[in-house]
Amino acid sequence: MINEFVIPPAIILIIGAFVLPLLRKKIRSTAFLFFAFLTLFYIWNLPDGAMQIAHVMDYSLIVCKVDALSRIFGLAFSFILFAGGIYAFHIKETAQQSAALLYAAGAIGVCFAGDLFTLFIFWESMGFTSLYLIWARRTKESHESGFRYLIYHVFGGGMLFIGILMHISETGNIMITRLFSGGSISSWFILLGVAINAAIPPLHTWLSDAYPKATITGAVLLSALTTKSAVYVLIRMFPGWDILVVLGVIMSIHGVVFAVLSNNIRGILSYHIMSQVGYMVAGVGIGSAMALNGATALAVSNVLYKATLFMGTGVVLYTTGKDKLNELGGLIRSQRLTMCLYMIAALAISGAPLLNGFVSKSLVIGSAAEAHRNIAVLLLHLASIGTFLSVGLKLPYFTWFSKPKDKNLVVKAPPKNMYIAMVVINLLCILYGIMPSLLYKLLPFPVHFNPYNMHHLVETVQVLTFTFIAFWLLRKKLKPHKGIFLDFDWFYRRPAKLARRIFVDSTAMIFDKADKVVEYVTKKSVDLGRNPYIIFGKFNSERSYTPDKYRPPIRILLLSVLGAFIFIFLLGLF
Amino acid sequence: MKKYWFWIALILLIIISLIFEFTMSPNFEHHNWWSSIPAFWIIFGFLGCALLVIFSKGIGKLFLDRKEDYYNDK
Repeated sequence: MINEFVIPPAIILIIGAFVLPLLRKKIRSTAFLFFAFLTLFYIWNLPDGAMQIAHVMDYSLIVCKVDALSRIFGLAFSFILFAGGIYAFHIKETAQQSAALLYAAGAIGVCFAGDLFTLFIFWESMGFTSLYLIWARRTKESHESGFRYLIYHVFGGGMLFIGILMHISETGNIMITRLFSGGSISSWFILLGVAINAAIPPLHTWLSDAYPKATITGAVLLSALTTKSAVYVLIRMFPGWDILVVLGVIMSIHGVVFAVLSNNIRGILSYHIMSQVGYMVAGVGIGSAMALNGATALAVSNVLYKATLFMGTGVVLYTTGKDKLNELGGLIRSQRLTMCLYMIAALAISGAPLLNGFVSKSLVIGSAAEAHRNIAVLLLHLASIGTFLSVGLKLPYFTWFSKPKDKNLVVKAPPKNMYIAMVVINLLCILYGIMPSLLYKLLPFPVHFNPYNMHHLVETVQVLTFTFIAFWLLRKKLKPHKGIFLDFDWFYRRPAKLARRIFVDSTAMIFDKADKVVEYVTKKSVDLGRNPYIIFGKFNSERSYTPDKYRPPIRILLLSVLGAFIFIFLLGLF
Repeated sequence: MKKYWFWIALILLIIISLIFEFTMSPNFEHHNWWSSIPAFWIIFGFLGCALLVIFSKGIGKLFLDRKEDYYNDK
């Protein structure tokens, strides 16, 4: 066995998270970048097949196991942590920075975990650390939705843990291995736990609920890490599960439909994460080498451009304090650069040629075509149209181009580092778009695919241009208006009131009644103790017992009893 | 003026793509029923987008739209 001594990459970030608060405040942001870059550099240089085993009790835990799949995910996560660090350079809040490092450590730990226990520990750590990035916004909404996020993830973690324990008791094997559908129920529990983090409907509402309420800088990392680490686990454990194709396609359509409905700019992007993850899930379900390559490539690409999109909308929120489309508009005059940087990422996510979305999305759709799943191919194309419609057209049009809704909107200048972060990621998006081989050679399986063939180019150009034309004709219909819309979270948010009535209000009422009864009984017994004579009725109604009042009658009573006793006694004697 | 050029560029792009579509060799690798429909992706792009807009807004109006404080009203 190859067993060189390798430090798990997550350790660097965990150490970083604890060292950061000890440093001087001025250099913390720089130190953050240092730790992120160190991790990136370290993962880049990790040799394939390296493994680190830790012996804990009776188990040998593989805390670090390197192969192409784990490396590419690790690289993407550490890169986005670095870029996120640049974007958040102006933030001087150590708790957020440490939480971000620990969160990324969780995601990277998952990628390099070789056994199910290690996986579970890192998996759970992601939930709690990411929660801080939501609560750190410190609004009432973020607080409440953070709680829902927490409950959801604790439930998901529980399902995962049940699945892992059942799996171990069935097979005696704690390694992360490929699971087969139609197997035991333990696989389904693991799948359920992972599906929650992958936001597969109807278990997706934590995402669309919490991400738009997270901090500006936190949302960038949230968009990249949780769902994509779940995709990683799906690729590892569930390739070829047919149900995932169906779920993935439903997910990609559901995401775009709700993105078209959404009024919140980061809400649109959050629903869009779902749609994109849908492609990856479908790819995992198809399960061929090309499909798994596609899912991986798309996950990496999505980490990049989705983070940029969140950065762009973050700039809008930072500079105007608004994130609702019906309050925005006409920002182009002051935010030309932001708009351009956003649009590069938006075109990338829509699959425009020369950008990384084009070279990765086509792998997934191509693999679906290869598997002769025609309906899936068409629906994924439809989701692609919806992507361009909502992220590439609706959001930028109503944010930057349409008539300003509020003429007095004050737009402040964002910190320069926000732009730098977006430029850095965009450069990578363009690089991978122009030279896809750079991305392809990092993928887990060899790639025999050229995205730049004529058919594919013609198809993409025609779809995108006519999507634009249809949008232009129908843009009045898309006019944003204030309000929210129902999703599956209705099933737990609306009955929350009823549940509150049953479990909280009624319990409180019972306690209240019991309290009153106890108070009444106590009061009565105290009174009784003070004056036991009140039992006999009203004529003894003094509050407390006065011995003098009752002394003469009692004396007479006692004397007569005594007299009677003596009398009986004397009768007995004689 | 700017808008004008934008539309011209768009139309040119479509014309070029159509020329390529009708001159290049058919795609034998992945031949589906839609491969034989001329300009299929133009129809698909246009109708797909229109369908998504109308369908989304439709179900929004019919079932899903609510006031902002829907979950918080007491």
